[in-house]
Amino acid sequence: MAFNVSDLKRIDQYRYEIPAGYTENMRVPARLYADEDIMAEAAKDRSLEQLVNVAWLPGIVGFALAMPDVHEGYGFPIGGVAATDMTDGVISPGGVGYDINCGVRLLSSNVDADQVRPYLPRLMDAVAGAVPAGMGRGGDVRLRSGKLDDALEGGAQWAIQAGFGEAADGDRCEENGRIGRARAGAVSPRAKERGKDQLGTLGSGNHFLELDEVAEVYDAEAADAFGLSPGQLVLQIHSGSRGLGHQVCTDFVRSFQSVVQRERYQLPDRELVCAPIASEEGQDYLAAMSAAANFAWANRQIMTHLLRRAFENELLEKLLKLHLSVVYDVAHNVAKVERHQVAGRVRELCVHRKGATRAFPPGHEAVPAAYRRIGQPVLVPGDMGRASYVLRARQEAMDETFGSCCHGAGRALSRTAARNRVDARELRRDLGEQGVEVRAGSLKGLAEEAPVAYKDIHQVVDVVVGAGLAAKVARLRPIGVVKG
Amino acid sequence: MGFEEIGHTADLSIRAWGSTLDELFVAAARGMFSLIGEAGPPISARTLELDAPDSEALLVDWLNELLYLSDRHEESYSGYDLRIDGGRCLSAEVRGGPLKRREARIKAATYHGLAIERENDSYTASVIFDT
Repeated sequence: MAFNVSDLKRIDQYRYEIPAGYTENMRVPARLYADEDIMAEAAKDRSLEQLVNVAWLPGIVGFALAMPDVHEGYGFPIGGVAATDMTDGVISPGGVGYDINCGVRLLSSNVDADQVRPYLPRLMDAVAGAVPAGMGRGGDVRLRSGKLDDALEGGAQWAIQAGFGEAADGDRCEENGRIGRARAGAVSPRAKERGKDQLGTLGSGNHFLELDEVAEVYDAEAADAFGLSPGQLVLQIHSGSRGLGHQVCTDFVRSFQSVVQRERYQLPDRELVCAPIASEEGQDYLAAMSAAANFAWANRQIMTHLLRRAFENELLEKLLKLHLSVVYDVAHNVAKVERHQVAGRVRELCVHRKGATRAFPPGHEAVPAAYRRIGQPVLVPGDMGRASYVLRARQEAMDETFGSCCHGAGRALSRTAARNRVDARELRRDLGEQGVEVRAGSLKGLAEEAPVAYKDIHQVVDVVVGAGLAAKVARLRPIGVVKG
Repeated sequence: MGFEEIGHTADLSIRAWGSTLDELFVAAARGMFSLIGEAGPPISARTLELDAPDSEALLVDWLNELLYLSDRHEESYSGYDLRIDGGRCLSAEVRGGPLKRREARIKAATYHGLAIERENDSYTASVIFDT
């Protein structure tokens, strides 16, 4: 399982490479962004073996890339990025994962964390009560099939028009919260069945709602543009496309098994099944996956609405006149058609990000006008005890990583190991003593998500900043967490 | 026939074994539902008919089909009548009831590193679940 560290070539302080000749089926070299510690950890499990497998994908361009939050997944490593050529490359559902457009939305408020601290338990109850989470079933927003199709093709934009939000919210999302190439007809009836009562629900596992305080601002100009200031209360929503997205992935991983046979691909791992992007199957997956991504954006938009309503209903509103604004919303698990410069030529590529965020630099037309001078906000949530970061993307990300950056801290311990090591009640007490109020769907789930189960977010962020992919804007400190 | 949970950094994983392919499939289903949560008294029976290009794909299909049913009806299953023909066709009746307490929500069974190994009279497979 372990990877031979001597096969990694150190390029500089934050870059390691595995040459294309490491295995005979690698089409391009692999690159890992890491410091020595992170590299050594990554070599212990199957992360790097999985990264080498990604380099096999037909039509892959440049490098198979791994961010410093890399850890073992299935098929792709988590923290993996791969760009394939739109004309002769493939698209792989395993390069996106089952939770399509699992992502993070950051909301800013017009009050300081200190102002809400005296009411925190009550506010946390309101937040936890507003959004159905964890083990429960669907939410309040149930859709007839026709409306669901609108959500699948309209994403956050549909949700806003349907009354779940404010017009400005959509402008502050990656893709404006809607991928245009989505086709509701490409999503199976079974996937729709699983999704129809799940809009506006958080889900379980690593999904969360978090109240944070802006603990430190590193770049005043960028923070000002993003609407962030020291001491401010902000919220993060981490969720995805729920059962609908899981089923879309399951459907296509299954149906692509026969495509692999037809195309005579010699897969290093069956979870890497793929289809030529230009084929009918490839186009169908792209359309269905985009629809699931839109569903996730609609989901985070509706949760934003539910949170606003909860804050309004809370007595606090009368005291504080609290209002929430969308800072930005990024996808972690997605494949998108983008234009990138490769060896001096602009090419249309399908960029797979599996546990990675898009990171487009200053001046890029896809960055909202209000942030274009600064660069795209890159949201990097950490664990519930330490911190999260708001970064801004730099040109180096565009030049080196197809405009991509890390997506979080990355797991360091398995769920089983975390459960064995952590006493959930003690954890909740300790977090309380640190000033973090916790609401958890289950104690077991809380233990699995303990800070000790994650890498040190500061170290992960230092790598992407040191490598020049992004720059620090602000650090957030958790004060209240709802775990799904 | 049996199963055990094994560690995986991001997700959940089980190893299952049985003296026939049928037993292996039942053990894998039991392993999966040990992660998801126990069933109350059996009150529902659901039938499944599946075919796949090979036994590994059939195992993934079987688990994903059960996941779909479990998700859809908020159920867990404990009784299995199952028949596999030629390693690639499966018909089954599963019995179960409402989940007593959900321990985990599994998104899907994956193909990652999946191989059904046969040694003498024993079939073994490890399955990684996305959670």
